[in-house]
This record gives sequence, C-alpha cells and structure tokens, in this order.
Amino acid sequence: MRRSALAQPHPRDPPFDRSSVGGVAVGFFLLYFFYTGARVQPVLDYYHAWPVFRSSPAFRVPFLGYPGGLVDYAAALLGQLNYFNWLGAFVFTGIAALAFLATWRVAQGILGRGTRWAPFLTAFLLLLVSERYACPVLAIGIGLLAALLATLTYYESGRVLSLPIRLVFGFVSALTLFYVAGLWPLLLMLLLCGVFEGNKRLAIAWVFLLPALGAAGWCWWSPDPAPAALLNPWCRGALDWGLIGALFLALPVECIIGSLWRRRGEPTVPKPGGPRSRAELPRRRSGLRWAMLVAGLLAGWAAVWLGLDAPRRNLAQIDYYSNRKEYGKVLALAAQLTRQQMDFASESRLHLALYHTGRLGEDLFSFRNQSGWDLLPGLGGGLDSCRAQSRTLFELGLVSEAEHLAHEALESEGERPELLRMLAQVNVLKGRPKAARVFLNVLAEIPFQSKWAVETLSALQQEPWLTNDAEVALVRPLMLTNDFAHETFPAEGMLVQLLYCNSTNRMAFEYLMAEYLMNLQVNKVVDRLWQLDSLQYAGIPRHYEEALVLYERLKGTRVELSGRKVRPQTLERFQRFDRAMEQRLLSTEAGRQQMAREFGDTYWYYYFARQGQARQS
Amino acid sequence: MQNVFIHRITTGAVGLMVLAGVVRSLCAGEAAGSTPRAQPRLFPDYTGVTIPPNIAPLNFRIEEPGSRYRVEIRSTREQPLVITSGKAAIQIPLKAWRALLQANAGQPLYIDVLARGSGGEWKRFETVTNQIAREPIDNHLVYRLLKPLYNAYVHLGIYQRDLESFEQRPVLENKSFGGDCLNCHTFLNRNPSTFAVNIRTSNKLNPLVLIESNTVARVDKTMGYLSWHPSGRLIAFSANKLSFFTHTCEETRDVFDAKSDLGIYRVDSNTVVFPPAIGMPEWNETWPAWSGDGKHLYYCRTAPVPISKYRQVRYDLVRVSYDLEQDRWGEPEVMVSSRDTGLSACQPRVSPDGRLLLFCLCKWGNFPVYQASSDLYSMDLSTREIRRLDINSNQAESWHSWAGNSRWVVFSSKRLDGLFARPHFSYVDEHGQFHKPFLLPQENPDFYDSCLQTFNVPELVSGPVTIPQADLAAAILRPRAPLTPKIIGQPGSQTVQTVEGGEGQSRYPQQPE
Repeated sequence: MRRSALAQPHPRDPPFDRSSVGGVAVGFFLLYFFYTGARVQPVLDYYHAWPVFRSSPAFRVPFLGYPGGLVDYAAALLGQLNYFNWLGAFVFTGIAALAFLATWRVAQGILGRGTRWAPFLTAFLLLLVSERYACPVLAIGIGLLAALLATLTYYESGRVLSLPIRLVFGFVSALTLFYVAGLWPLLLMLLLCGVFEGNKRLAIAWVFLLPALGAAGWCWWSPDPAPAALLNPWCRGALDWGLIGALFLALPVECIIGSLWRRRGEPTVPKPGGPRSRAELPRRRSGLRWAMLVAGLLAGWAAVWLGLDAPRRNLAQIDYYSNRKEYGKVLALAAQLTRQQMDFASESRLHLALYHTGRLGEDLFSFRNQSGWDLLPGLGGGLDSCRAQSRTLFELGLVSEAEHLAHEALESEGERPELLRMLAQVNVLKGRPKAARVFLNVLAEIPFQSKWAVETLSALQQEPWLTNDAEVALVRPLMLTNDFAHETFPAEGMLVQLLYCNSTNRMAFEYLMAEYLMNLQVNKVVDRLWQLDSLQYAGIPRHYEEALVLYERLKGTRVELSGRKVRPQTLERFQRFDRAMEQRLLSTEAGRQQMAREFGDTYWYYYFARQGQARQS
Repeated sequence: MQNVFIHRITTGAVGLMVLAGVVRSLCAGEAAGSTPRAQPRLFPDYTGVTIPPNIAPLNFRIEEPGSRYRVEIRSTREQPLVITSGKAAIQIPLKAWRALLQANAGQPLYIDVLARGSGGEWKRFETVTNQIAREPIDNHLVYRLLKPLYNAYVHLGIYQRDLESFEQRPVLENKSFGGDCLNCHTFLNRNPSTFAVNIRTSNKLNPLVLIESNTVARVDKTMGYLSWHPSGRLIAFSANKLSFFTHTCEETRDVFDAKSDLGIYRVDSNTVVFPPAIGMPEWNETWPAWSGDGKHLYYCRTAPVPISKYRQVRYDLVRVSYDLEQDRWGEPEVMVSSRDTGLSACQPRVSPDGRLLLFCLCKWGNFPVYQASSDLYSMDLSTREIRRLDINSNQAESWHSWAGNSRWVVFSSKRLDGLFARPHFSYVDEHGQFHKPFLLPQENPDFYDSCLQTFNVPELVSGPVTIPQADLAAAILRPRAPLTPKIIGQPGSQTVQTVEGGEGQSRYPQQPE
C-alpha cells in the first residue's frame, strides 16, 4: 500500500478537536455573512464599481485572451448577484468559507495537522479587502481559491504519482492556473508546492521556488505593459496591496514557519516524576490554544470593524441612494463626509439631492464640506464624475451634454446599466430611436436589467418617441432648441439658454441661482428674483434672501420684490452677522471658528470666506 | 448485438425524419410557389446589391414573422444553397458560399425566402436578386474601433478583418503600449506590409510608427492626416491645431481646425519639408491625398477664421502637381470651390486608376463623420463633372477608401442609426456608377444590434497585416534607434530654412536624382 503524500501528524501536535473547531467555524461564517450583508453591503459595489457583465458570447472573448481572464469573467458573473444584497453576501461568504476549508486542507497537507490561524486569517483578510471598496474582491477570492485547489490537487496526486510524473503534473497545473487565474495564484501555488516538497527533500523545493521567483522577476523588470499588468491586476492603493499581499502570503508564511519548527526535531518529553503528569500537559496546551484562538478571533473582528473604509462606503452609498432616488439618504450621508473625502461625483449627487428635496436654495451652503464648489464642472471634474454629472445634465434638459459625459463614463467605467439606460433615453430624445435600440440591446444582455430593456424595446417598436416613458416625457420639453456650441463647459451660459428656451424649467432656474451664488454674483441673483413669481415659489428660498440682504447692505439700496418679503429671522440673523463682521472676527482663527459655528450654514459666511480665499490666492 | 440493433433503429429513424423534412420542404415550396409576396425585409439590407465574388457570406436576419424559415440561395451554376432554420438569423455555410460565388462571378445571385406562419402554412416572398461582380475586392479591411463620442480614451485598437471570412484580428491595440491613443493608419498602395500609424502619448511625444516591408521604426515627429506617395518615398502629412467642441442640438461633437498646413516627410532621407506651394500662410491646408500616379497631391484648404465663425468654415478641394524626380511643385488648382457648392469639401481620395475623385461635402468644417450633412461626391477627372452619389443616406458618410482595382469603395456610414459608423461597400462599374451599398457582413447577423463601437477609417488592403503587434508596441515603447527627422522650413512659411530637428540620418540609400 502506497504511503500518502500528505505529511503525517507530528507527534508533538495534540490531536485536533475537529468538531469543536467546526462549530466555531460555522458560528464564524454566520457572523461573517451578517457582517458582509449589513455592514459591507455588496449591493453598493454593484451600483458603484462592479465589473460589467454581459451574457452574449462576444463578451466572453476578451476574457479568454489574457492570464486571469477566466477568473475575472467568473467574478464579473458572480458579482451580478450583488444586485440582491444578501445574495451577494451569501456568495462572498461562500467563497470565503471555501477558501477557509482549502487553506485548512493545504496546511494539513504540509504540516501534517490542521492550522487554526491561516484559515481564519485568510477569511479576515478577504473581508478586510472587501470593505476597502477599492479592489475586485471576488476575483481575488476566486483566484485564491483556484490556487489552493490546484495545490491540493497536486498534493493528492502524490498518492498515485511518482515524483517525476508528479512534478510534470504540477507544472501543467501551474500553467493552467496561470492562464485561468493569473500571476498571483500561480505564485501562491508554486510557493506552497515548494514548501510541501521541501519538507521531504529540500532540493525539490527549488524546482518550484525558482520558477516562482523567475515569473515574479520577469513581471517586475519587464518594460512591457502586459507583464507589469499581471503584477498589478487589481488596484493601486498601498494599503489595499498590503492586504492582498498578506492574503496571498499568510498561508505560505505559516507553512514555512511550521515546517522549520518541525525540523527542530522530536518534542522534548517531560522527565518522569516532574511537577506535572503526562496527561496534564496536552490538556493545558490545548486550553492555551483555545484561549489564543478566541483572542485571535476577537482581534480579527476588531480589525475588521475598524478596517472598514467608511468614507469610501459613504461615497458608494451616495451613489447607490442617488441611483435609487432616495435623496434624503444622500443628504444624510453627504453630511458625514469631510472636505477631503468629498469628490466631484458626490458633490454632483449632493446638488441633485438638494434640488429634488427642494433644498438647493435653502441648504446648499450648509454643506461646507464641498471642495469643488462647482455645480457643473464638465470634464474638469474628472472622469469619475462624468456619470453623476450626466444624470444632472439630463434632468436639466442639456441632453447633448449628458450624452457626451455619459459616453465618457461609458468608456472609463464600462457598460454600466445606469449609463446604458440614460443613453437609450438620450437617443430617443435626439430622434435616433435605432441608436437607442443598440443601447437597449446591450442592457438586455445584463442580468437583472433585461426587463426594462425589453419593455422599452417593445415600446420603441410601437412608438419611436417613447412618450409613455416618464423620464423622457419630463425632459423633452426642457431640451434646448437652439444650438449653443462650446469648447469648455460654460455652466452659466447653458443654464441661461435653458431658461430662455423654457422659462418654466425650475431646475435650470435653481441651478442658475446656485451658480450665481457660488460665483459670488449676488447682483445676478437679485436680478433673477423676478422669476420666483413665474415659477410660483411660495416664499423666497433662504440663500436667495441672504444674497438679497447682503446685496442691499453692500449697495446701500433697497430692492423692490413686488409683494415678497424677506423673513424676519433672516434679517435678524444678518444684523448679528453684520455686527460680527464689524468686529473683524474673520481676521482671526478663533473668530473664524466662532463665525463658522454661528453662521457656517449661511451664504454670507461662504461669500466672505470665498472672497478671503480669492484675495489670498 | 443489441447495440447494433439500436444503432440501426436510430439511423433509420433519423433517415425517415430527414426524408419527411425534405418532402415537407418541397411541398411547402410548391404550395407557396404560386403566390409570392413582396420582397422580404432582411437585415442587413442585402437586396439589390452588387457583391464581390470573394466576400464572406452575407448572413442576414429575416425581419418577417414566422416560426420557421427556409432560404434558398442560387445562381446560374452550382447547386443552390438551402438553409432551413427555426431562427430568423440565417448563417450561410462558408465553403458552399465561396464555391457558389466563385463559380458565378458576373452572374446574378438569387435569394428565395419562405417563412412558415403560425398555422403551418409557408409564405413565399418575392425573389431577392443581387449581382455577383466579376471583380474581387481587396481581401482585408483595416479599421479603428472605438466608442463614438468621448475625449478620454481607454480602449482603442486598429483591427484587420479578413473580408473572405469573419476573422478579425488586432493590428495594434493601445493596451499593448500603455493605453495611449493611436490613429490614422495609412497604407502604401494597399500593401499590408508598409504602412504608418500615428501615436499620441501622455508624455507629449506623438510619434509616427513607420512600417516598411514589415520593418518597424519610430519617427519622432508629430503628424496629422497622412498619405503615402505611390513611390513609397514620401508621406504627405497635415499639421493641425484641432479642438473638439460640443453642440447642444443635433450632432453632439464637432471639430475645429484653428491652424493647419501640409508638410512632406521624405522617408528616403528622413527629412521633413514644408513646401510653400502646400503650406501657404493665408490658407489652412489639410486632408492630403496623392493621386494613384503620384503626379498630383489633392488636399482641402480654407482661409483661417476664429472658432466663433465655425459655421462659416468651408473648405475648397485643391490639387497641386508634383514632379517627384525634380522635386518640383506646381501651382495649386481649385477643383471644387466652396463658393460654388456652398459646402465644405473633405477627405479627397483618387481612385487608383486615376479616373474618379471621391470626396465628402458637408455644411461646414473639416470633420465629416460628425456632420450628418456629409455626403459622398465623385468627380470624373477627365471631365471635371461632379455628382452627388446615389449611395448617400441622410446621415454622415465619410472615411472612404478605394480598392486596388478601383471597382470597390468602402466608407463609414451612420445610416443605420445616426450614431455608430459602420463600414459599407459599394461597387463602381465601368461607367463610374456607384451601386447600392451593403454593410460589412458579420458571422452573427445580430452583431450590429448591440455593437457599441464605431468603425473608423476603414482601409482596404491587399492581404493580412503580418507584423506582430508586439513588434509595433516595442517600437513605440523602446525603439532601438528612433528616427528624429531633420526639419527644413516651417509650416506656413514662404522661406526655406532649417529650424529644428535631429540628425536627418537616413536608413535608406539615397535615391538617384
């Protein structure tokens, strides 16, 4: 009978209590599942940054053309399940659990005993990577799993194959793994196989370790972009890479240390007649190990709890809730971000949320965490903001601009459902129903998106203007009817044109007023106040009032508002502000902080702070 | 024994089913044959077109209701092709199609379509008659694929399509050299081993990649639109100051050329010259195109105006004679005056036989793919007669290219949907008539329904580009000896002086003067 290739249990290791560890693992993954679903929320990724997937055969082809493409394809496919948050959490937990089991088995194969650390560490690291919202965690997890399974297959082949044939089998498996999963899984497999063989004959270890070093070195030093891309296929941040590196190195490091430990020789046996009996020592050692395991788990969960990238999650949530038109939540989330954390895309969504909740004229300057202070920066806001801006432009009626930025986002972010849907609507509005069909056909290939696409295709068949589509019907009367050619994005000019074409475009009015306010053009705000009547505003929005009283103060004149009156509390607050300004509070840091506390949500504060900044610059 | 028995039963059953199918098909044909209806709606519209004898199968979708379809494709010789399908998408077997076309060059090609209704009755449509031309088309098409409307590119590539099959392979993708931009691939006399490609890099080095007989070199000089002299010794290029701008109505994108001139890159001596005849300071010259005999350079020109007057920009189509041996330029001669047409001329391309000049006319500007008004026009160079071609649609037609035998033209048209440009082919007969164009066939007839890429600069070439992509990428990223041309004169200057440049070293023996 052949001897198993797997290492035999070491005499020093006490027998492992599988059932109790199994119980811990089940509890662990239940918690893991609920944590993922409730706190990480895979659905955020679906809307924010998940890889595009299409069911057509043509979509598969590019994935076959590069190492790791098949894993990327599988990850993109599984990632679609994130559309349902808890299903996404289940899939992710499943991958982590499989990686846990595979890690256990691999460690058992090398060390001759199960390990308690590496499997839990692997699961924790995967969770940590996922809550960074920066890397395609499913692709990483599936790649890791593929490497572990390939390693296990290699170990098992030792039962039936002689060494030379096993080595050939190992290399064929490694090459297959490289094609399927990419460089990192390949390196992991080679390392683990090297350690495995090294336990028996050190020289054989180099048969695996040298190719691993060679492959890594080739990618590192190659001047070609393709090998360099293999080295860094997932993300860019140093911390993210640290976590991924730890994920792939945790098991090999434990196996190497464990192997070296074993090589130190047989365990020392307590002298007879010593202070403790033979039966007492393993019991105590086992108790100590359990205590360490519990402590390790607690530390792991603490790291996971603290490791969540809350600002990135906030940005993803803003994207998600904006997509779902839950604008109240967008505002609540935006308020939690600092100026450094806010980006152009979120600012754009914040403005849209303010508009839809009727607060753009009331609370725009309450959000002092805005860094760009630019309503419609166009491409100046960066490619990451194009998708968000295109939504705003579409709703405003700037359909061509929306189309342009949606195409920019389509190129940089891929065929995301939100973009395809809007581009279909844009093309309908621009009288190109056949082009709309192209976008709808692509949308129909995306899982969970086909219903709307198929219905709209059918509606287009009946009627190319899509008059029954609520969004299209809303935007059509707002569209510009005259050509306004431009190189950069002249927000003010475009908004004026919108109002010129359709004076009832309330959104264009509010955005124009906000544009004036942001650019400190109080005179233009005052000049436009007459439109409050035609647009049937009940009162004067707070920021307009603030601009009005500021204008009157600066110019020393009174503005006739044809019956409308500034609220007394605004006047009273302005008097206090005026007094504070006379005390030159803004000239000292302490004074600025006091002013910010008292008047930070007012237009006056913004006005003078911005003016001060302009003067300094 | 039992296995053999089962096998025989199975074979017999299959045979009976096939026989039943054939009988039913024949009956259906007979039943429907007496009352043919109007022509079937096919997508792409492969009705009444003239096709090359070496084109890939014209797979199509029958846009008629039916639970089952039967298509018979026949000509005067060879067995007809019969395809029966439960789907409306008809895919024609490649080998049988090739045999049919090759045996019937110069003959009509008939397509009979039958559709079975829900009641089981077969409906026969009027026969579609196409024509197989005698003259083949160059067997490869090279184009750039990109999404239709953006500034910041991520995925760009130049691809080649074997027109005799459905194989598409990359010539050069931007991911192979760091994700930068690539454009304006230009071949010498449709030779796939000698061509040039412009590269736009993020480090502001915008070189020309020059491939001669599959030997690649990087020329560190920014060039715009290119045209090889038929001798292979010169490349005429434009130097443009282009800017994109956006419209709020109709076509979203537009291009404005603030300043442009033409120059000549002498491949044989690695020098760049700006001959005064084609680089006049009072004109913006662009879109260079050599005639097939190399004795004339065609181009477009307009007087410079500020961008605010972009709607008034109209280009004339001009040509200037050139004597290669003497390196002597003639006087520019206006071929198509914008004053006469009221339109702007772009992209002149002379047929290789020197008979016809094909160009675009559009309302304004110099970038016809962004002008729905852009139509193709031809000029008979012997009579100077200009014709607006019947092959135009109400959408943009542009980026046309001639086949080597001057019998085929390929051009990018947005006629399908107004947004995505797709390659269409038109046969040009001996009388200079352009025949109804047909869309580049695809293996899957539904391909264009969900294709988000636009086909840009389709160029016909006589064979496959064989230089490996890795070689092109290596030449861009780490050339062994990049060529820095010696630059003589400057754009738009009447005087000739050396103003900048490198060694002017030549990799080639000097041509005898």
